[in-house]
Amino acid sequence: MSRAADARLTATLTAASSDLLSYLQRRVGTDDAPDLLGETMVVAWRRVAELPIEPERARMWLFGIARGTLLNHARGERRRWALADRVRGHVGTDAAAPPADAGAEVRDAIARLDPELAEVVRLVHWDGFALAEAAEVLGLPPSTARGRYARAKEELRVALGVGASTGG
Amino acid sequence: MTRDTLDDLLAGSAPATRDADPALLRSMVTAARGEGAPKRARHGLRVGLGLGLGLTTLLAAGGGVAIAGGLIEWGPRYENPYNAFAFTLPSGRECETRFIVEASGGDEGPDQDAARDIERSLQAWLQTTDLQGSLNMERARRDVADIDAQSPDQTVVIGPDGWLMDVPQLPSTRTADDLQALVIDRALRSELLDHMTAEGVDLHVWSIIGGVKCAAVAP
Repeated sequence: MSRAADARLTATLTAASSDLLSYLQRRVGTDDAPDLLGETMVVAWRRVAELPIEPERARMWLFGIARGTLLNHARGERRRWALADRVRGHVGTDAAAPPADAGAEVRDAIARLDPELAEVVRLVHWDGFALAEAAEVLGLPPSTARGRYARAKEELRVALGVGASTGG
Repeated sequence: MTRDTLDDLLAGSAPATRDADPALLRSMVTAARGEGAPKRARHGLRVGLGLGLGLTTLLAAGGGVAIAGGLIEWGPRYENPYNAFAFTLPSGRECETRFIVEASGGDEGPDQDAARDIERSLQAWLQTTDLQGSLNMERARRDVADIDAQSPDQTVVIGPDGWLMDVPQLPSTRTADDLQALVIDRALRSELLDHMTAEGVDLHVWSIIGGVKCAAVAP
């Protein structure tokens, strides 16, 4: 591992770790998220030779690895990382905690979508990614991501009884 | 333009998150760097679910016996695994998988006594069990097919340094060696998990971490 790559990955992980933790928390909760963050970091160090040079690509690369840990988690694999103890149990309170049932109906509607459609919606509306960035995290062509997003929103409008926007 | 009501609803549905101290996150980055390269010797038993490797033969060796005639170098972290398995891929390439058990809380705390109990139980079981005969390879192949269906843009291959690793590639890019490695890994994992479950081990607390590494390919 070159010193340059070492420094770049350290910088990229440091800059992205808070957003990575939030991304993971939104999907697996605050208890499991630190372990998945730890796994993301360890995998990133193991694959440091593949780290993209361009900072924004490097950031997306990390989210791609994080997504991989979520897939393992969904398959039932559970790993506890000692390095995650640093964060586990030491996160703050919810920044502006909404009522417990706020958004529940919408979250349920998203969860009822095909998983591939649901994740595009989450990446865009929960994590703030542009559609092109969401495509990169998912390893999809941008056109495929756009198509899935459009289908997802169509199905959500029906499920939630929300009409299309109007105006100009 | 009127903002789409649906967009507002979707944005408002995001689950709340909790911030972590930036200093703690920085220390995680440093700790992960140490974990990322298998160099550090760890004392005690770690249970970790292994990565997948596929080989045509499987030899079980209890007590951390190194196999593969020294063809595969393991870092200090895996010097004392509680079990190790060697096998040969369809190409003839030799591989080895080693497992360690990791309890929540790492190397400190009261969990270490329980970790050693689990280790002793697993060692005793492995020394008296014909793993090669008991592995359910058919179930493992079905598991791999399910994984491929659920994760069509990601798969597991033997990386350039010989470690089995996750890559953002189509499953169709796997070689026969990659696939066999993954199938055997899944079979071993299932067997270990089944035994641990039968012994009452809480899999939400304990995890098995394994390394699967293959000998270098001759140029």
